[in-house]
This record gives sequence, C-alpha cells and structure tokens, in this order.
Amino acid sequence: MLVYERKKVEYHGRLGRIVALGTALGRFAGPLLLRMAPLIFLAATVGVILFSWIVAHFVNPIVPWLIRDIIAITGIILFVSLVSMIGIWGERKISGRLQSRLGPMRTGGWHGWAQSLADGLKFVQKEDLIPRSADRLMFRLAPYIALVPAIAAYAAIPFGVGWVYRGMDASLLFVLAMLGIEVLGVILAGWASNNKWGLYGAMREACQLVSYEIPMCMSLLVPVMTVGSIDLLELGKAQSGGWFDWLIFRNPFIFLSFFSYYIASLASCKRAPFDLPEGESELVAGFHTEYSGFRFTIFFFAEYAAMFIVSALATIIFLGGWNSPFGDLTGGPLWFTAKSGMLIFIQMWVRWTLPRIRIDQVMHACVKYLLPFTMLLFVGSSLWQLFISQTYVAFALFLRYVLGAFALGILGIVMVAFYVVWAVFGYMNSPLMVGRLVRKHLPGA
Amino acid sequence: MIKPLFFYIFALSSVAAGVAIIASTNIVRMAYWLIGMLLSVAGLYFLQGAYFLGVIQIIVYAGGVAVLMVFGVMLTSQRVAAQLRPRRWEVLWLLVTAAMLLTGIVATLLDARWSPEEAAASNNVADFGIHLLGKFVGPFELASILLLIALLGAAYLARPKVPTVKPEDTPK
Repeated sequence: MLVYERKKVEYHGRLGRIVALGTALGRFAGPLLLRMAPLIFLAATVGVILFSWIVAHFVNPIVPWLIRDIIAITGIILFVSLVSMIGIWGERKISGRLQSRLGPMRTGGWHGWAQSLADGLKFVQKEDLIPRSADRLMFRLAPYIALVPAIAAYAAIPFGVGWVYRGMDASLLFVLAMLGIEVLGVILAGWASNNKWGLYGAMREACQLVSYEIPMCMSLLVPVMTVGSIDLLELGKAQSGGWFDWLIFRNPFIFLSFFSYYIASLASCKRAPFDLPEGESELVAGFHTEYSGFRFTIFFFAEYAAMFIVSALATIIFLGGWNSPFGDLTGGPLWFTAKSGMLIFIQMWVRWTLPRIRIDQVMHACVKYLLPFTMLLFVGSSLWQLFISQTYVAFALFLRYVLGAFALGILGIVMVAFYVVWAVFGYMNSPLMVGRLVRKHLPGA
Repeated sequence: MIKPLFFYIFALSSVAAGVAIIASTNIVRMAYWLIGMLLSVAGLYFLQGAYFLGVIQIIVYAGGVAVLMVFGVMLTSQRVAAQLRPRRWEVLWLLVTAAMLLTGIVATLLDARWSPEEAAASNNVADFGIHLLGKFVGPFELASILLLIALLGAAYLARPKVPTVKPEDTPK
C-alpha cells in the first residue's frame, strides 16, 4: 500500500494575501452569484446583443476579419460550455427520472438548474493532484489534447446556411479527423498517470475507437455517396423540403446505416453501453482515475462536446440538418440544435437503460457484426443508386431490361435479410467466456 | 501579415517537434512528439489551402497510424524497456545514412526551380476522386492490393497460437 505524504502548503506574504482575498471573495460572491443567476444571464444576453449591434455598425467596417474571428471563436467556446453545462445537468435529471428519483433539486431554484455551475465552482477550488510516479508534462498536457480538437471540430459544423465559421470542401472529413485526435488525449491521460486502471482504460479506449472508427465512417459513406459531396453544407442543402426529403428516408440502406452510425458513434464518444474506458465497476474511473479538480472537468467538457459533435453529424447527414420537417420554415439553427439535442437525449436514455457490455463483446460486435453490416449497406446502396440513377440513364435502363424492376434493390434487401438471419444465428452460438474463448494455459480455465 | 506569422509558427513547431523526437529517450513521448510534428505539417497544408490533404494527413497519420503506434508502445513498461539509447556503432552508421540523405535532399532543393506564384491547389474533392479512378486507377488498385496483403499478413501474425478449447471440453 503506497501512501503519498505531501507537505501542507501554506501561503505567506503577497500570495497569502491573494489567497485570503480570494477566499473572502468566494465566500461573499458565491451565494450571491447563485441567487442572482437568472438576472446575470439576462444581463449577459442583453450585453451580447448590444455588443454585436455596436460591432456590426462601428467596428466591422474598419477591421472585418478580426472581430468576426474573435466573435465566432468566443461563440463556439461559449456554445461548447453551454452544451456541457446543460448536458451534465440533463444527464443527472434524466438518470434520476429513469431510476425513479428526482436528481438534483436544490441548487439555483427551479429543478436544480444551476447544479453544473456549482459543480464547476467546486471543481475549480479542488486541489490539483499529480501522482508522484506520473509523467508530469504528459499528465498535464493530456486534458487539453482531448478538449482542443473537440472545440476545433465546431469550426466546420454548419448550424444553418451561413451559420458556419469555416466552410470547407472536406468539412465532414475535418470533423472526423478532429474526433480522431481526441482519442490521443484520452490514451495519453491513461498512460501518463502511471496507474494500472488508467492504463487499462486507455488501452480499451484505443482498441475500441480504432475499430469503431471504420464502421462509423463507412456508414457515413452510404448517404454521402447518394449526395455526392463531403461538404456538410451541401449535404444539408440536399435535404431541403419536408421530412420525407431527409436522406434517412431516401432509400432503405440509408435508413439502416443511420442505426449502424448511431451505434458506432456511441462507441466513439465512449457512451454506455460502450463506456468501458471508464467502467467504474472494474476500473475505478478508467483513464481519468488520477485526475482531480479542473483537469477532470476538462475531460467532462470534452466528452459532452464530442457527444454533440456526433449528434450534429447524424443530424446534418441523416436527419435533414437545419431544415424543418414541415416545408421551408425559418429558424434553421434552432431546428438543428433541437434535433441534435433529441439525439443526445437518446444517448442518455440508452446509457441509463442498457447494461455495459464486456470488452470482448465490444470487439466482436464491431468486427463480426457491425463492419460486415455496413459493408453490405454500402454495396446495397450503390446498387440502388445505379438502378435509379439520373446520371447513368443508359445504364439504369440496361439494368431495368436485364434484371427487371427493382431487382437490384431487392437483391440488396435479400442480402441484408440474410445478414440479419446469419447474425442472429451467430449470436445464438456466440462465444462465451466459459466456452471457446477460454485458453488452456490461462489460470482458471 | 497574419499568414507568414502562422507559417513560422507551424514551421518552427514542426522542426521543434522533430528535434524533440530525437532528443527524448522515452518511446511514448517520442510517439507524441511525432504526432505533434504531423499535426504541424497538416497545419502547413491548411495554410496553403489544401484542406483535403491536411485532413487526410490528420486522419491517416495522427488519428490512425500514431494511435496504433502508441497503443503498441503503451504495453511496454514506462520504466524498464522503453528507454532507448543507441550504441556507438549504431550512432556511426546512422550518422552516415543521415548525412547521405541530407546531402541528397539539399542537392535536390538547390536544383529545384521554385516558382514564386502560389500553385493552384486542387481543393476540389471531386477532382481527387475523378483522377484516382481515371488516370491513376492502376496505381490506386495496386496500392489497395498491397494494403489487402498487409491486412492478411497482420491477421496471420496475430492468429491465436494456443489451441482454443471447444465448449464441450470445458469442465462443468
């Protein structure tokens, strides 16, 4: 048993005065802030509106790019903070509802809405612990490697037509790349804390994410192939109209690929039932076992930011993005946020409903079921595309003569049905820990 | 004014990360410096307006190759095995190889005729697709066959070497 003995830190002189001042200020201002929070929010909203009006009329004509960039980046960071604040509170309320309890009720008045703010204040005040045997530089660096790409991904996500900070030709790939870098921070955190639970969590994260990235990207490829662009703006614009124009209802393969994307995205932002990297029943807290205080908060921020990113991708690519379900209505960003929020709610619902699955089941589910399924969907969707293609009319006609009406689509559907039967058969005879997976040389076999 | 500034930031950080790869002795740190260098180079691509190339650099190298490398390396202990120090004769022939490579690169760079105007970076993803499946379909397919062979080889190497137990053999 290793017990860390640390010297008690006492502040003297100027530092001591600063600490005393800060403590006094916190004791005085903390309750006041919580009590006045609705007023502060109102004042901030009015202030932002006034500020943007002043900028639009006086500053913008002089240096257009500077203010635009500053406002956009600040807005993105504020949005991420708001998403994680509401997300953490919502998660606790929803889990409470699903488990027949109330969740946070006290802080801030109405249904404990300021719980996340209070938690944030508490986390900032906590002692910042670094284990003695940890790699100090990497331990400190890891949370930022997790958070910065998650925020950077928002730069390419369009919230509506004209509501994107940097529209680019390969914006879908950019968002996926940023999600891919985020993994590195988590792995680094687990390794640098030099703790066996942390290392196990990091290893699980690495193997889970590297394998689930493939079905995720492949199931995104199915609708992308239908539209013919990897620009998120183009993808959103291709679905204007009512709900029946959304890509998810374009053909049956895209409908199925939405679900495979959703499952893979749950794994990619390590939500239950794939939250093995932090499985608290086995690994204490997984990769962030050794993290405390503000660094721990940063990991939380990164997780909720990533949750919104994958939901936003699903919204833009499958669910019509900023287009309203009833024809052309205004308020694009609101529709977009509402749909993404709905998907995040489903993520939480799934998390508090399903039990966590084992790591070997996670890998089996990816390599044996999800990956072949997405490949079948890819093939089926390309056959469907060729059959009803407007660009290759001659080829479509040829196919129609040779194979009869919708034969190719039916072929794809038969393939998917065969796959489902095969998967159910495989699940019935699935390898259990007491069965085929047991090796003779291991103890307990 | 801001573009040269960012060029220097990315260029200096890539060089610094490259030096740090060589200077550090811990293998996980080396891998992370390598990732930093790859990201800085991707930043240079972004600065040139080649978004697709930069994004592919991040996805393939930083997100794929480097994660796998870190994953493999992480299984080695932090203290015991991962300290890398080259021996004397290794340093010698590494120096010779590096000197030859450097001479070649510098000679090529001096010989190259640089055009002062910016190259029109083909930023259109559709162009990439058309070229890959049109003019360069042969090399593209060859590369895919190579990758398939590598995949099969990896699966062969990673096959279970211990005979697995059938369910009926397990003791009740």
